Amino acid sequence: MFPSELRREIVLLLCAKAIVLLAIYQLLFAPLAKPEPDGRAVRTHLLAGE
Amino acid sequence: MSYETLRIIWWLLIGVLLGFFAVMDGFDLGTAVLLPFIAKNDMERRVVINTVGPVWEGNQVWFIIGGGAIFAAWPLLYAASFSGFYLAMILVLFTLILRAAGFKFRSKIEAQNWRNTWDWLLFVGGLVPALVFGVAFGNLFEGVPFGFDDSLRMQSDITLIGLLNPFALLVGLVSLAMMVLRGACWLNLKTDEPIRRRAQSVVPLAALAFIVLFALAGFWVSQIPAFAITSPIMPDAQPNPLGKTVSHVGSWFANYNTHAVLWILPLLAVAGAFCAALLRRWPALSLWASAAAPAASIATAGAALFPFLMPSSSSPGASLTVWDASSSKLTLGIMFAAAVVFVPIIVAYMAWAYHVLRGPVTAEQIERDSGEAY
Amino acid sequence: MDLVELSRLQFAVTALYHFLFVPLTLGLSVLLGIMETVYVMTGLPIWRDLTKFWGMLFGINFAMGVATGITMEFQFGTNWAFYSHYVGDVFGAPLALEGLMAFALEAVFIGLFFFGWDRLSRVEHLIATWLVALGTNLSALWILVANGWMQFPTGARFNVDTMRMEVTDFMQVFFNPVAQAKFVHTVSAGYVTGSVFVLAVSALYMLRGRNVEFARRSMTVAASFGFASALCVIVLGDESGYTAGVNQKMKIAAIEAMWDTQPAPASFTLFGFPDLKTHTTHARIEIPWVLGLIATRSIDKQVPGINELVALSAARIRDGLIAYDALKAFKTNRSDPQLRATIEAHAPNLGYALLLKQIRPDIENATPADIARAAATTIPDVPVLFWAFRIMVGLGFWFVLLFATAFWLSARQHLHRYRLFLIAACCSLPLPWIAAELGWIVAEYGRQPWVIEDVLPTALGVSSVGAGNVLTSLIGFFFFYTALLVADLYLLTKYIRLGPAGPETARVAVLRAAAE
Repeated sequence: MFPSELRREIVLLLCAKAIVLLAIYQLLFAPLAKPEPDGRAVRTHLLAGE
Repeated sequence: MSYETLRIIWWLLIGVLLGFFAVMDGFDLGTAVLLPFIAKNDMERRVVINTVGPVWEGNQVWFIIGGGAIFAAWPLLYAASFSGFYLAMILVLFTLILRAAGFKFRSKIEAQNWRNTWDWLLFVGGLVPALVFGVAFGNLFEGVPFGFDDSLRMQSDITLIGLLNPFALLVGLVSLAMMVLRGACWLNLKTDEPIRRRAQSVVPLAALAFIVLFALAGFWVSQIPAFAITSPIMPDAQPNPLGKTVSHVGSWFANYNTHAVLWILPLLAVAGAFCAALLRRWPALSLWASAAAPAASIATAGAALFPFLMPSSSSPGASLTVWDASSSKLTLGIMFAAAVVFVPIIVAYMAWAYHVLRGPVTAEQIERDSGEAY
Repeated sequence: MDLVELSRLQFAVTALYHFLFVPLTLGLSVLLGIMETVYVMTGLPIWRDLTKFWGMLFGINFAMGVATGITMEFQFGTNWAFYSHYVGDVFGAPLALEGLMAFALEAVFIGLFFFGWDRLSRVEHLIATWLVALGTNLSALWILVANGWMQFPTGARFNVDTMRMEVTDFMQVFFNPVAQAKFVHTVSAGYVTGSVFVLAVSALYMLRGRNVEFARRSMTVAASFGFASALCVIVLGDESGYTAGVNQKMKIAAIEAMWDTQPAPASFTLFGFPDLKTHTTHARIEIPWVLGLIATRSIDKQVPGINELVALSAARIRDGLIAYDALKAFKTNRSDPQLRATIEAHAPNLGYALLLKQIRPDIENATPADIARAAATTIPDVPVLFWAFRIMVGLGFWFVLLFATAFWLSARQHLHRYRLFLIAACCSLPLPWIAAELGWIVAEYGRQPWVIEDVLPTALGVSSVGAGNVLTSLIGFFFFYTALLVADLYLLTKYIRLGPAGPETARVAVLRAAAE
């Protein structure tokens, strides 16, 4: 359907897009990206003044 | 100005904006629907596309403005309708994007299968919005299943299948017929032979289809139980849809029975379509007459539904009405001032643009400015 | 993934995708106006070819921007219905004004721009071009007024009768300092994007030795306009930093990974690895005084650190709970003036109490430990913000350097002599997009967990639709948008390769070659 050079460019583009989306997901949405504050950190940093 | 007056003004204004959308975008949606059938070869198709090429973006803006105005003036309606009709809205959205891309991309590549594909995608991009807008209106008459909790968070049981019920599909066909009528009248004015001849022969067919379907839908509506507010109406109260009672019996013609003058609206819609067919040898007059079909149809539906904006079938008391789904008085006032200033300005420069672009589109023109033409 | 995450992901990817097209539209529209003005003033046909060539690339990009922009307006209603109800009274107005003042203008005159060359006089066509530029810029103004209000919700209050935020003062919404700074920062970034695009494509032509006269003129325009814009981006970026320092202290603290309040003036962390778990930054390199100067424009005011702000959040949650309890009682007893007064007094912190909703549904029974956990959720994702911000700023300074060089070379008519410069210009092509997308990540991801800062947590703003529906639309967007991107880039590169020798001539040349 497409000439081979164009096909290669499209495949490259699709890979690039997949990588970008994966990076967006990993950085901004994956549960690992932002750890829940654990009880100890909460106590030391947040409840220190109370 | 009282809160009540502002609410009625904004109810009318939304009608006007949606009317502009149906009248203006109506003909380029209709043109896209006619495209694969009315134009036989590539150059003819380019002619058809280029009749709407310079104006479709401006026409579509009425839809964006209408959506924005509903957001600003009736936030609960905006929230309930867009999220309630979720998959239908996403479908409309995709097809609108497809249309935009189609106009721009189609003629940029010579390959015939590329162009044929886009022609059919443009057809879909005209067909689906035209149908779905009608389907949405149809569902308003039947009511849709939604309610609110005490924080006004919506709960809904609306499904795409539920929306596509027979009556709503009939209203969808009414909408499609009037947009095809608009498209045919437009091509009748903006093209030369042989496309003009074909467009001219579509005009009476589309007009007839519209009139028959419109009358059928009108009869069907008389069989559908209507909603009515049964608790005391407080037109100046703070907007909150909870705390009223609504019955689900009676007739959608109640407003017509109390104000007989409203019957002018459906008559105007039919007369517009009829005159468009009758005057088809005078394309400009025919095009103007055909504008009455979508404009008066929307007015007909609005007048029947008043004061309801979006009735709820599952908890009728939560129905959204003109009195309890609006913005604050301040927002309605400011936005009214903005609309009074800007809508006439938009109409003025749009009219000037149409004046500049007057006259039929021909193959020679497209050959000449092929750098710019679609 | 649940409904909230799917809705956020869909909004994030569609917004980032939309913003691939917006900055180029903003920048190119003004550049087209400048080029055509030169044409009308000098009457030299090459300037008309310039306008037409860049105009064609503009057109492909513009259509995508408009089309993907509809998604944004729809999505507030389809996916963020509670948000739309809760703040629509304030937020809807700028969106509607955007339609009335901006979209209509650009959409009508873009038609005349493309189809009016033979139908309008030169001056009339020039006016149409400038009105397109005006429309795109006004559209940025209104959407940033709306966005600015999400960052700093001024001029509004909670109305207990309607259970939502309502406008009290439109002037405060429109002249929101955050929105003003954001507007100029964003449109300048768009001008930089347009200028880099013209500069890079022209540099490519020069390197290949094609269309040299054409490329030289394009570069001259891009160099001067880009230089002014790049400086503007930095200055207004600083202004944005200052307004955030006043109104969004948590965002500033997170961007700077400043865990503890420092004695004034605070130092700026140039480099380091922020650690969310331990609230420390490893391997820091600091520049004394700089942060205090940027964020407070003084040497004696303190910039509060994350830990101090979290303690403040905890206090606001406790205060918000008073409003929440009163609101609950009010729902069954609407005539009690005492409850109404209590709600109004504590309503500014109601949003903080709602943060507890992610911890437990019955938030009125929250324990001190629950409140501390909820307060901790007000910390944004520090490492991502820290790095996104630094890369963006680094790119901003690179653009200043690039355009300063281009400006100097073009003034001396030396643009074509330095291959290294031309290669650098070519390689800079993707950079403004990276900077712009990172800018949005800093602005919007840095606002989390709020959708409206201090007023409404993001998780509460969603629609009551099935997660399956959102997943369906998200998958649809993925395939549909990817296909559009392929087509869009293919056309852009095709026309860039064809070059500006008059697209028609080039088309004929290609056809002739194919025939032989």
